[in-house]
Order: sequence, then structure tokens, then C-alpha cells
Amino acid sequence: MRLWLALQQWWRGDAVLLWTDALLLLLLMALGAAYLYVRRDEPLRRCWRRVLANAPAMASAVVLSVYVLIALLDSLHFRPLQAAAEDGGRYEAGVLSVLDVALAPVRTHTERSYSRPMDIWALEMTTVTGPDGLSRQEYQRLQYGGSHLVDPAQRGADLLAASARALGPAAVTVLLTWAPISWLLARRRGLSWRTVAFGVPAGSGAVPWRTIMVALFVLLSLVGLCAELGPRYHLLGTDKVGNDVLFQSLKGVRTSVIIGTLTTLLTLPLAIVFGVAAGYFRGTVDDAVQYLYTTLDSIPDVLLIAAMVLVMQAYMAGHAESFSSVQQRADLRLVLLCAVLGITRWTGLCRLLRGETLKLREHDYVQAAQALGAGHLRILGRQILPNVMHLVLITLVMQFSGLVLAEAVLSYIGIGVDPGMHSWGNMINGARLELAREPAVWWSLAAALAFMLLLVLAANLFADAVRDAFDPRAKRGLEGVAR
Amino acid sequence: MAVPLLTVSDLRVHLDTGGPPARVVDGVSFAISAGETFVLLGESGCGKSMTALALLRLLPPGGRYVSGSISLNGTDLLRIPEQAMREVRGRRVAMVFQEPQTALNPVLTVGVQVGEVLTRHRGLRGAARRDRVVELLNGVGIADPQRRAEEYPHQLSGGMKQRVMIAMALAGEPDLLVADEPTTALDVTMQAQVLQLLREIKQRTGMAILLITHDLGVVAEMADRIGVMYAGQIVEEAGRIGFIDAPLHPYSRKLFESLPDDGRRGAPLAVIEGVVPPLSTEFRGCRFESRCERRWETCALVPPKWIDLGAGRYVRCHLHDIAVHDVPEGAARAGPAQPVAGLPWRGSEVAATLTVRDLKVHFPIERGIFRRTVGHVYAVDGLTLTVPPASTLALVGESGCGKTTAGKAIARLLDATGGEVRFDGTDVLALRGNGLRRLRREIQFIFQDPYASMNPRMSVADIVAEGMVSQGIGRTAAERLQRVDSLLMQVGLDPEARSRYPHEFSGGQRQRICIARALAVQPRLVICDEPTSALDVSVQAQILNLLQSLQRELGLSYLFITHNLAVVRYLAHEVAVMYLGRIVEHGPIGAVMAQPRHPYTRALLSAAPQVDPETRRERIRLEGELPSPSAPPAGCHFHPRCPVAVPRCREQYPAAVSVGPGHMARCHLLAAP
Repeated sequence: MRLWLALQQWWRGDAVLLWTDALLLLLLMALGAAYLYVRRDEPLRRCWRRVLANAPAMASAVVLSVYVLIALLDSLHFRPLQAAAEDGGRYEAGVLSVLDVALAPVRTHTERSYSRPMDIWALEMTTVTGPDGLSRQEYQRLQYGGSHLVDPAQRGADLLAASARALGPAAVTVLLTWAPISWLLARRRGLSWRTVAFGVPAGSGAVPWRTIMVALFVLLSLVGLCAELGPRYHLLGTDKVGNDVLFQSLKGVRTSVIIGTLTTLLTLPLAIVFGVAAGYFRGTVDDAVQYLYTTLDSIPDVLLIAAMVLVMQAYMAGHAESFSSVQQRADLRLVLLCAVLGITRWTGLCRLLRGETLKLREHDYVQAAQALGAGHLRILGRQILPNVMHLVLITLVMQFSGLVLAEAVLSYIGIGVDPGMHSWGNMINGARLELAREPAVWWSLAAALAFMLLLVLAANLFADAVRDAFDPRAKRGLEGVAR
Repeated sequence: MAVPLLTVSDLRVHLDTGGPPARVVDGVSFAISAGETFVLLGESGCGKSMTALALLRLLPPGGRYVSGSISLNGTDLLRIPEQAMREVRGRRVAMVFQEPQTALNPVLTVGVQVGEVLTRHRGLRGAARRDRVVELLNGVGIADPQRRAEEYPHQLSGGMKQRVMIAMALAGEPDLLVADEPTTALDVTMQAQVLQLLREIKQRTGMAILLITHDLGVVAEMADRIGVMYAGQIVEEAGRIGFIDAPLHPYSRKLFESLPDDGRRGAPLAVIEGVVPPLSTEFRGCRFESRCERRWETCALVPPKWIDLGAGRYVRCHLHDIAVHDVPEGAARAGPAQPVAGLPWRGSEVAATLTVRDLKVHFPIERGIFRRTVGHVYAVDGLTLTVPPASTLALVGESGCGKTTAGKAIARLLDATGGEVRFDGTDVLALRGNGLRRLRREIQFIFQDPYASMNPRMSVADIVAEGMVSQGIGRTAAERLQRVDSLLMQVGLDPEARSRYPHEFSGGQRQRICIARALAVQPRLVICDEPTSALDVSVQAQILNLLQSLQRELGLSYLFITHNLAVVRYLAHEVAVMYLGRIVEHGPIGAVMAQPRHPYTRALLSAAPQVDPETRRERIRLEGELPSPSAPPAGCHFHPRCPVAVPRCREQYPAAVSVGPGHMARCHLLAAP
């Protein structure tokens, strides 16, 4: 409901396209084009079907798509209408995303300082001047967290009731999703709707729909829980200045997804062009490319990134007037970080592609194309590229998780994203000192790690399935036997 | 007959590969006595290798024994524990694999690998082991065994590696040697050496040999008894003489009839239509039924019995079953379908001639950081030949003699170092850019391995149309598609095949697609690089028939690169024999085959295994290996291996001597004194 209102606001509002938004949009379009291409190409379709039949991969895909959805909602930026701004009262004159608006209650409910997850009391005592004029130290009720409760003892019952309320809609949504899907499946296979709707969840059919639906149910329950409890409690506690940790974690999703995808997008052209050219043309081209990546590889990654980020920072500090808002500045820094990460990361894929191309160009079918009079570009495009794309795809999905982790590490040591930007790395960096406190504030760190773990785990499982399906060497054993 | 050493009875092995299990070995029974060579003969995919692996309990993952027994000297190998089985492997039954390149460990010396077997099975150590290794290597005909024992596998040639494999197998002094296509990866001369070695060892040690092969020539040379395998079953068992004179099963007969030979020149070879059915099918009647020319209704319904014809002959066919009464007179069906009429041909009246004069292809050997050239590999070193219009020139030689390199250089797939290639008067080597592209239309290339020569990511239509797009033949995609259809029909494939992908086709069908791809640009010369060596005999016959009929219809010229002399006899009009980068003999096929003048040609011809015992020549054993093309011997390149070399051969490369009309040889002995 709130999401719908937020989308309406975005539609009516003054849409703003940040750099990362534009690139993400481009990536989506590329994905769409890739989908159309795969549909037409039989061998690729066969490979993807193998991925589709892999239960862990499909569960991971559900998780990934939720992450991507969050990132997308967070990428629809706009400048809110004046009316809306007055309504909310606390908006800065900045740019907001649909996610910000949808999560408005969570975002705006700032407490004074730390509070435990789902607690209704502040973590620390505050000095209060009582009506008698004396100062006392006491635990105060939170301003928002559980403020609707009259009796603090009701908290447990209220939480339980809310959780139960969250499960109902989740189950209903899953069933409502299954109905049209099973209807479509039934139509495609020419079976009755009943056999498909009840037979497939019991385990028949190639695609593990049962796993998908269970994963969807778990995730929807979590979403429902957030929707139910988020506005009334601080589900994951608050940080030092009283900001909601759940909100920060959710905002961190976009940063991670962008780093994970855009970096690869930026590295791909470099790696493909250099790698394939080096392998195909050999000789001088090969020497030049090899010297380039050997040199790049021999500089420690972190140093290179640190140096580039510092140069960038200095430049941006000197040209502060060219950025109209804080977000724009942070955003450009993110793009540049992607580029910098990309520059240090393309060598691995490039080397791989060079080796594969060296091998492929000696294949009989490449020579056959030569004998038929095909030009270099045609041979590269028709014979070589389609046969190295599996490597590109495998590297792409495998790199994703590495990049998400790299962001966290770089932000932790202070050369990552803008400190003002929500990211898991920044959260972890902030949590560094908090862990040393007594009582320890562990929830910021735990939340960031949990979100990251889920994303990286899902990405890795998915990557494994993709590699198994696309790597020709993985299947060779069985084929050899069959011969 | 003596008590058999090995008795296999009703062995059934299934292989689970997801889906219905493949019945790779389905009720196989045979027996081998000591000192006997039993040959399992069959096409690929009929379960021969799986039978061999099953004997040693070395089934691949997914394989399981369903029933049967394997009795070795009274012990049932399927009932003993794995611990005891290890004593059997290597010690009592040893195995030699097809591919010597991959069967040896590249990081251990040959001596260590042979010694390992000695330690394991004979308990030899130290000096005793070292002596025995040298003795074994000596026994398999490896010269200088002390030195060779210290070398690594990559320092040995293919034939030598196979000898080492045999030495390893012999180290345990087994009772039975299982050899799985031991010579398929080797040249004819090497093959002759290895087969000779196996025969000698058998005589010396009284060992039994189970030899697995698809080569009827090898069968004729080696076998005492033969079992013909088809789709997981033995369909015929016989002694050698009886089998070669009169094979009984229609499948065995077809195998013989599809052999190319000079006796069958000009006529199409018999072919076995279709392929071996997938072993996962549920067979009802005879397994060969769908491909058999003599089938009738009963064959599809009743599985044939295993019929004992006496004198050690057995066959699994209704034709020979006296209990089957409804055998129709001359049960047969229509012969092989005639190729569909082809495309209109452009300018076939102007037939082209290829002349190659003194072609050289040298590859520099580079060393060190600065890639200094320290020498050259003289892969092709002064090759001269001509391909007359609308005829076939066979280029024959051992592997490593440079014949493929020469073919690729003529097709401009490799850069030549020197010499002259003229095609239809055009200087081929000087062409650049557009001129070169136009030449690509005239000269096409067909590769050896149909599995590797098609892009697995492209559909058949795209593969065949590739050349038309590159050459701008056909204006629209629809027009090209139409041409693809007619090309596919021309090579004997259903036009429906165009939307499928290479992996869905069998080896023979793939080679047809490759031929269609080459024909798409309407060439006049096709260079065929061993186009049938990766195929089974029956499939080879199909491809040879196709090539021959295309030549008649389209007036194509072929430069046919091969090491298979039977194919040469059947197909070629002229033959050029190549040794170490040069032609040593060149002439009309009849003259060269009947009266080979160069000693190398004579040795080559005698080394090829012959099916017909009457045409078998006196064997000229060719010692040693092809010398390295980076350091060819001084004088005549062949003199170190030549049985009739004279002192002059060491000093001077012989000039070409005309020994008949159009017949040339390079040998000092032929020159007028």
C-alpha cells in the first residue's frame, strides 16, 4: 500500500536520474536483450534449463531477485513535490528514492541513541529533571519503538501477534502467485490445471517449483514481518544517533548490488576486447596486452584503489560547486569506485579469455571459416565469441560476491563509498568501536553481516549452478562414458 | 580344445546415465584358451571396450553388473573381494589401452612406471628391478633400453609409448593380455611393428590375448578366433579362416563389403544404412533388423537364437536357424538410395589444375627471452605435385611427414615459406585481400575430425550458409536457406536437419554436413584431410561413395590426404607418397600400387594389414621412426630406415627419375648407373 503511494509520488514527482540509476537501467536493458537472445539460441536455452532445474540455484534466484527488487526501488529517485515535503515535515531539500518514501516511518523514526532490537527502552540511562527539580538517571521509553504500548509487559504478546499477522498474507500471496503460474504451466503442457497445481509441488516436473515457492514464502514472511513490525518497533535496533538499523541495512542493498553488477559491466568490455584480441591476433597485440595486465597485476590492488580514490576525493573537493546535491556527489563517487575496482579486476577474465581464444583459434571450425573466406571480425563474432561467453558468464556471477565483499572491506578501511552513503561496509566500520562498549552494541554489525551473508551465499550458490551448467568440462566425464 | 583360460558367460552390464539404463553389454559369452588370440570386432558404440573394462572390474561410474560370471582359471572374478581383484589386475590379466599418450604418467620416467608393476606384482627391488625393466624394454623392441628407461613419456614417439605400455602389461607376466584398440592411434608402419611384437610375445610366452578392434585388416593378421559384436551382443563367433572366407551374419558380411579396395574401384561401396541403435532401447526382435537388407517380418518380432553350427562357429541370425521356416527367397530390400540430383554447376567445362612447385613451409624454433631463431622445422620442404582436372590425387605418408601442413598451405590456411602454387594459372601464394577471398571459393578444405570442425553453437543452416554469407552468394536469407536445403539433400541429409545442432548428429552425418559446407561456395578443388579416419568402416563407405558421386556430378578435383592405403586404392587416380616433407614417388594409382619403385612405398604397402590372405605381400619391416623434421638426415631422408641403402644415399638427395608414363620416384637405385 505504502509502496504503491510511493510509486505514485515518484510518477508525479520530478524524477531524477543519477549516474548509477542510468547505468543500472542500461544493465537491465542488456539483461532483457540477453534474454531475447537466449530464447532464440537452442544450446544456450539448454544450459539455462539445467540451471532452472537446480533447486538450490532457484532458491538463490528468489533471494537474489528480492535483493535486486529492493535495489531497483531504491534507484527510482525523484525530488518530492513541495506539498509532499511539507506534509512529511522533516524532508531535506534533497533527492529521495521510492524505497525511502515507502519506508518513511522506519526512516523518520529516529531515537536519541542506541536501542536493542525490538526493545522499547533506550539502552542507556538519560539524565532527567523530574517535576521536583532533581536530576535522575533513568531508562527512558523510546520515542517510537513500541510507543503504542501502554503497558510495557504487553511487548511479547504484541510481537507474537504481529508476527502471526505477517505469516497470513505471506501464505496467501504465495498461493495467489502459484495459481497463475500453474495455470500457465498447465496450458503449456496441455494438462489439466488440477494435475499441475497439485502434482508439481509434490515433486514432478523439471523446475523445482516447490523449492521456489517455499523460498518465496520464507522471504515474504520476512517482508511481512518488516512491514508489520517495522513502523512500530526498531526491528534491528538503532545506532548511536538513533537511526533505524533495518533501514540502513536495506539501503545498503542498493550499494552492494550496484558495486557487484556495475563493476562487472565496466570490466567486461575491457576484458573481452583485450583478451580475445590478444588470443586471436597474437604477436604484437598479444605482447602489448600481456605487458599491460602483468604490470597491472603486479601492483597491489588495495594500494592502487587507495591511490585512485584519494586522487578522486581531492578532485571532488576542489570542484564542490559542480555537484548540486550531496547524493549526486556520493553517487559519482560510487560510480568511480566501480570503475577503479573494475580496472584492477579485469585482468583475471582477460587472461582466461586469451587462453581460451588461443585454443579456439586452432580449432578446425575456425580454420573452416577462414577457408570459406570469412573476415576477422566475422570469425571473432560468430566463431570465437559465442564459444567464450560461458567463461564470461561464469566469471560474471562468480565475481559478484567477491565484489560485494570487497566493498565492505574497502569502506571499512575508509577508501570505499562516500561515508555519508548507506552501505554495509560503512555500517561495519561504524560498529568497530561499538563492539568495545559495555554493553556491546552488536546489532549493527550483525545486521550488516546477515544481509551480506545472505546475498553472497545466494550469489555463490547461483554461480555454482551456472558454472556446472555452462562449463563444457564439467560434463565431459559422462559423455566420454556414453561413447 | 583345451580347458579355457577365461570363460565369460551371459555377462550383462548396465550403465546408468540418467534416463533408462544403457545395456552396454547384454548377454555376452565367450571363452579364451591359453595361447589364443580372441578378437572382439565391432563398430564404435557396440560395447567392445565396455566388455574389456568389465573383465577387469573397471567399470566407469554408473556401470553395474546385472548378471553373468567371468571365470579366470576357475575363479569367478565377480565374486572375489576388491583386495583379491587387485592381485588379478596386472598380475593375471593386464590391459593395454588405445591412447598411449594419456595412459602414461607424464611426470614419471618410463623406467619408474614399468618398475612399479614389478614391485607390486613380482616383489622386485633395487638392481634386480632395474635389470628386469631393461630386459622388458628390450623385449618390446626398444633400442637403447638403459637410456630410454630414464626418459619421460613426452620424449618418446607414439609407437614407442605403446611399446612401453605393452612392456608394463608384460611386467606382471599375465596369463591374459587385454588390448583395447592398441594400434588405432598409430601409423601403418608403427601398427605393423606393434602387431608383430604382440604375435612374437604370444609365441614366446604362451599368453592369451583379447584384442579389441574395428579394423578387419588387424583381424585378419592377428586373430585365432573372432567374436563380432553388435549393440551389446556377440552376433557371430568363428575361427579366422572360416570367418574371412565366409562370414555368416549379414552384419559381418556388410563389414567386409564396405571395405574399400582396388577390386571395387568405380563401383559404389556397400553401406550399412543408419547407425547402431542406442543401447538404452528395449529390443524386441533382432538388433540389426532395422539396418539389415535381408530382414523379413520374423526379424522384427522374434529375437534370434545363438545357433551352434559346429566346428566352433556360432551365429545369431534367423537365416541360419533351421527351426525358422519362413525364410523368404532372397529376403532383401531396395539398395542404397541414389543421391538426389544436385545443383546446376557453374563452369565445370573449365576444369582447373593445381600445380605445386617446390612448396616450402618452415616453422622457426625460437628459444630464450629474445626469441632467437635457433633452427627450423622443415615440415614441408620442396613439395612438387599436380592435381589433374576432375580427378583425385592421394597424398600418402606417415603422421608427421607434413602432409596436413602441405594441404593447409595450399589452401592458404598456413603461410608458405617458399615455392609456387598455381591454381588455374593464378599464383595462389601471392593473393591478398579480395583476390584471396575469391580463391577461397575455388579451393575448399574438409577436416579430419567432424566432431571438432563445426562450431557447436551454430545450427546446421548457419554452418552451411557460413561460406555463402562470407562470399556474398545468394542475396537474401531466404535464398540462402533454399540453397542450404538443396545442399543437404545433395549430401544425403534430410533438409529438416537445418534447424538442428551438430551434437545431434552421428560422425558420418557430421562429415556430410562438413561436405555440404564446403560445397556451398561451389569449389573446384577440395582438399580432404583424412576425412574418414575418425569414422567406422561402414560409415567410411558412405562418405567415400558420396565423395565419388560428387566428383562425377560436379567435376570436382580432390587432393586426398590419408594414411589409409585401402582408401587410396579405391578412390585415387594418382598417388603421391610423401616422406619427411618431400614427395618420394608420384604416379598413376595402378602403376604405383602394382609396381612401387621407391623402397619406402614398398614398405608402406607391405605394412598395411590385408584382409585377403592371398594378396598379402612379403612384409618389409621398417625399423625405427620417422626422423625429426627439424633435423632431417643428410642425403636421402629415408636412408637410415632403408633396407637397401647404398653409400651414395648418405651423401646426396636423389633426383627425380621417371620410371614409367607419369610415374616418378626419387631413389638412387633407380637412376641409370
